[in-house]
Amino acid sequence: MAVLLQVDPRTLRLPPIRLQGADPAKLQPQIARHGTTITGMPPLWVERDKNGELMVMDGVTRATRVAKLLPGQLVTVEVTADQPGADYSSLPRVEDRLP
Amino acid sequence: MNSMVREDLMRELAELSREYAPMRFGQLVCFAATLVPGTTPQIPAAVSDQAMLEAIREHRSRLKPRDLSAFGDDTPGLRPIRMELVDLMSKVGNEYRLERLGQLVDLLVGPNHGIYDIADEQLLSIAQQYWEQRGKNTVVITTGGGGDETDSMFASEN
Repeated sequence: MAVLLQVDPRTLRLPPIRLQGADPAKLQPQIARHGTTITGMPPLWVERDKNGELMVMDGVTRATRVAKLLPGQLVTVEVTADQPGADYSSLPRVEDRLP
Repeated sequence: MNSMVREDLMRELAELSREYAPMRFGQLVCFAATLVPGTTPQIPAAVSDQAMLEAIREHRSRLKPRDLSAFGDDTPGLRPIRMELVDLMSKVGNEYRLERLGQLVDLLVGPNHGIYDIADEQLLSIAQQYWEQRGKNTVVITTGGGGDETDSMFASEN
């Protein structure tokens, strides 16, 4: 069974290739299209480190949209990989890169 | 570049595409790089083909069947374009024998796009352009973030 969690998207860590946060060119159209709706939003895919920190691998734009427009709203994430040797604490969180 | 390892890696990436169908190819390569064991997650250009290959195999060995119904029709990994892209990337990789797949994708994409963000259609178009023009153009490797450097693998001889 997949591991699904409910988390505040602001707390999620950004992947090393996306340290600057969501791409504005994707975020704006997504906001225009979905606004504050999360109904039907697919789960974000995350990896989990040894301390339980979660890094987004798919859904940086969705996480940013919800974090920006719906503060406090939890979203569903699926843990796609556990990385018991990893430490994501040096990676910025979604909330650190909100536009 | 070890061509056997690269071939195996491309096959594993194709299989991983099925598991993570909504991911773009470049995003998938980024994901595969972060699967490599280590204290901090890696970027693709820093990961050897062998390490990426082993990480994907290890990851896939632990995967359980996934429910992708929530993604609806947004499943590019199942489209023919992904297989076409994998095939072409293999050919380009053989032509342009960079040590690491992540370097190759990085250089194809160039600084105007990001490996994480580029759509399969865009990446395929760039790879096709390179493939069609191979031999006609000078290939310039740009590994830094320098201002005057060529922004992709292409540099006209003119």
